[in-house]
Amino acid sequence: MVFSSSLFLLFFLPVFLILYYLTPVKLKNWTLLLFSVLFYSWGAPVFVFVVIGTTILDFYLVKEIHKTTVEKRKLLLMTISITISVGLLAYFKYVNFFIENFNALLKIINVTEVKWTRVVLPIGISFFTFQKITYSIDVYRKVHTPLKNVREYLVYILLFPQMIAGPIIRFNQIADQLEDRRLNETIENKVNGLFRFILGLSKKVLLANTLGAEVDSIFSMNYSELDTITAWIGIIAYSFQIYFDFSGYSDMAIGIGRMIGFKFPENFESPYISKNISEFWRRWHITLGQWMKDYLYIPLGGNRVTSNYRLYFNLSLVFLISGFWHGASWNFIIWGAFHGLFLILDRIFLIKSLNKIGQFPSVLITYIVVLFGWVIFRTETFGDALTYTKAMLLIKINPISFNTPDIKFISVMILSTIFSFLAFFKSGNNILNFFFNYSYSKKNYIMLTGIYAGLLILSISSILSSGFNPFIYFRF
Amino acid sequence: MKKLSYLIFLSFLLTLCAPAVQQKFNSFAIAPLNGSFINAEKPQLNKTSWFSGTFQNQTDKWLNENVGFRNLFIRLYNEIEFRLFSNTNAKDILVGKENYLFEQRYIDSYFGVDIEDVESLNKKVLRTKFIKDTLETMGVKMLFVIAPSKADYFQEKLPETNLLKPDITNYDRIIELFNEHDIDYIDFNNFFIQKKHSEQFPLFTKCGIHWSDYGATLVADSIIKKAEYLLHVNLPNLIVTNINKKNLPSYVDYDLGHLLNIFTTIDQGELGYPDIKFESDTNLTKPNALIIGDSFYWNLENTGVFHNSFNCNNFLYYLNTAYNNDQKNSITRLNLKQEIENKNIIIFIVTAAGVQDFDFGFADKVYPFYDKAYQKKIEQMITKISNDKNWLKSIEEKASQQGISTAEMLRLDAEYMVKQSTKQTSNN
Repeated sequence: MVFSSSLFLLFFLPVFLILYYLTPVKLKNWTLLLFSVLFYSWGAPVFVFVVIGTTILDFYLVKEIHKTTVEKRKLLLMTISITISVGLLAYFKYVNFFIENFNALLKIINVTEVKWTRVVLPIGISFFTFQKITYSIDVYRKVHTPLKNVREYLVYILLFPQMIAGPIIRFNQIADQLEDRRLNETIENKVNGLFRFILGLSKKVLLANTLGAEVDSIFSMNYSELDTITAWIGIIAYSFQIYFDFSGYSDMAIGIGRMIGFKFPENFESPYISKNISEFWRRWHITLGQWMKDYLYIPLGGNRVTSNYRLYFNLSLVFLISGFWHGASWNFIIWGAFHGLFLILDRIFLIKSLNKIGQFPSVLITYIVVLFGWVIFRTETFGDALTYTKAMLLIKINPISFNTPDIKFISVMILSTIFSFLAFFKSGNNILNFFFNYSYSKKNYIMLTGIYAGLLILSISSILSSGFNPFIYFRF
Repeated sequence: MKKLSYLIFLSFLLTLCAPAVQQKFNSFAIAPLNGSFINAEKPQLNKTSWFSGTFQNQTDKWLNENVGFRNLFIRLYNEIEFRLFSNTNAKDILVGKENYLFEQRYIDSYFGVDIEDVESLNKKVLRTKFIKDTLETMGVKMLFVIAPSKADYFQEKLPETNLLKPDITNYDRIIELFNEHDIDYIDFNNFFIQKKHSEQFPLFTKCGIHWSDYGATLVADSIIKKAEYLLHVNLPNLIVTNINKKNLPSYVDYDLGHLLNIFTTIDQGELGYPDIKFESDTNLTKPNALIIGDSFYWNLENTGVFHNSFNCNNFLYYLNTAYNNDQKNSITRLNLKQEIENKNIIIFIVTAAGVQDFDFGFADKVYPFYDKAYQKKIEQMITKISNDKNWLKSIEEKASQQGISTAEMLRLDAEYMVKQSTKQTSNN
């Protein structure tokens, strides 16, 4: 089930909200759990049993971690817990990749390939696996005590607003809210959550989907015949598509969470105004970056290692894993390595150099670097990425092949550019603060209500007119 | 502010609930959408459909099509798309300059995107020539009515494109070939372009894809005159008694506009709707006519020409579906040979945009009837079947089931057997 579908918007969500609000406090988590199970099993009717089963097992393993006082036993139980979670991820997400590459090697040495039935990737597995790991580790590290009963843990893992595509919520960020969130269940939070949800929906449906249609058209062309202008339009449009698609989803998740008393962490903060790649990763998919930092980078030594080479190694490893987390393909690994390389260069000289040339050039250069990264991310193979990059760099104008984009696409590109770079300007920041301030005068409140009502009606109209609307990040 | 917050939140929640309530209770009558659709089937829940995901997919599609107020939402979206971006949500409909609507295939044809090689077209015309000459010996005439293409007629209103008009299109080639091989036709594509600025009312409307009702009247009159020339008889003429001026178009004159499914109407300007009557002198002849054509037939039929100036009981739509008054049947139920041989004239109506299929496969279909060698094979097969008692018995049973005579069934089976053996021979 996707958020931007009529089924979710006009049936699931209103029914859930009404029942949730009518349910007594003690039973609210049961309602939430029931709807979350229904939500997940709608898209994964078989795998849901695996998720529930392993989550229950994990709960008792972690309970044991907390109970036991023997350090070795604690470590062993945590290792078992993480192994189960990572094992599931490795099998369902990566086994096809490994078998394909193994078979490619066998082919080179003229050995018969291994026969294999492809495994289907369950939705959201990358996200809830990371959340399970945070639970095990946070309890092991004594950052937070474990949840008192398995129901709350199931709610944490299966929580439908964020289960499919994040934000990745660490256990310690949400633990107290799972047990008691009455303080957050104010009418102001409900309205703010609703507005945030509508904002995310509009980003996805009105911006990302429109851009996506043209992006798909350009990326289905023969890259070796691609016109330079078309190539740049394609990748710029894609950069906006992926941003509004993913951040839109996060907004919807945060919004629904707020409507039911949860305060989820922010996941995006105008990433395209970053002055360097290090800053980009503090603004893009923030929760992933923080997870990688706290559960991988810091345990490897973080910034406190004694040698620069060890530091660079840690950064490379973290970003290779980051890339691989995004998808089981060499392109994602290379994309991760690409960003890792720039993070290393940042440490060596790049941040200093960019600081010297001024904010605007830094932002522009960083954005262009990110665009080249997106080429690797979007194309199917590395060869395709190289060909597409060539098309961007070798000036070739072919008026016959260049399709004049329509007015709607041009309008959406202009709006996307404005919204993506708005925070760079002081006045833009003022506008954003106005929308996200959550403390309005009556006049502004009514005006905003009108704006959001319009966006909601437009979004529903768009959904009903176009049908199915898959998210990009469902591959993860 | 708290009260306002509650009011706002409840209003939004009720807005989200409203479509589901409307779907259940249908409290408000909403106008249906225009156009053809394939409706999603209602989902069936069982263990297999749930675990395979079929139920979920079907439910998504079905709900999307059946949710309450859907038509209103779609009209709203289409209205915004059309007014702000000149986009349509209708399949293959494009918006040209000043909101003139076109169908994609007419534009493709105008730019020669669908061009067929001249050898292939020549082969088709030659086969048609053979059929024409054969039928003429039986007193049956063939007349091709080339309906105009809106893209040719309103070329100055076409949407912006990088494509260039080629030197020659299928339409140009067919006209050349028709002239070369003496095929009788009326070229309304050229006729309409010539008349564009001299007629009082539009021959094509802004939002219609077919000739306007006014244009159809001119066409009907021209067909009568041409038929008189070909058949050397006097037909009941069409008389226009009055022309009603209207700004509200008929359904056909706005057929593309309806497909936009928007709230507002696009202004068509003043249109003319003639009041028509036909001469009723008993000395006049109404020849038996068979009409084979595309959708340009329909508003021509509305003029009454095919029932008042001709005796026409069958219209073969794309040579696929037979319309006889209100009855609709597959053409396979028709005895085509008998149908064409008891006519005085066969009129083909084909648009210039699809003129490469000018006869809808008619010549290929009837060629076996008149190919002597082929007919001999059929007769031999009939004899073979008749001499086989078991086979003949099964023919009788089939004939009874289908409600046709044994002789007809015998011929149909013989034709099938000969066709199959011809296919096998060409495959080997």
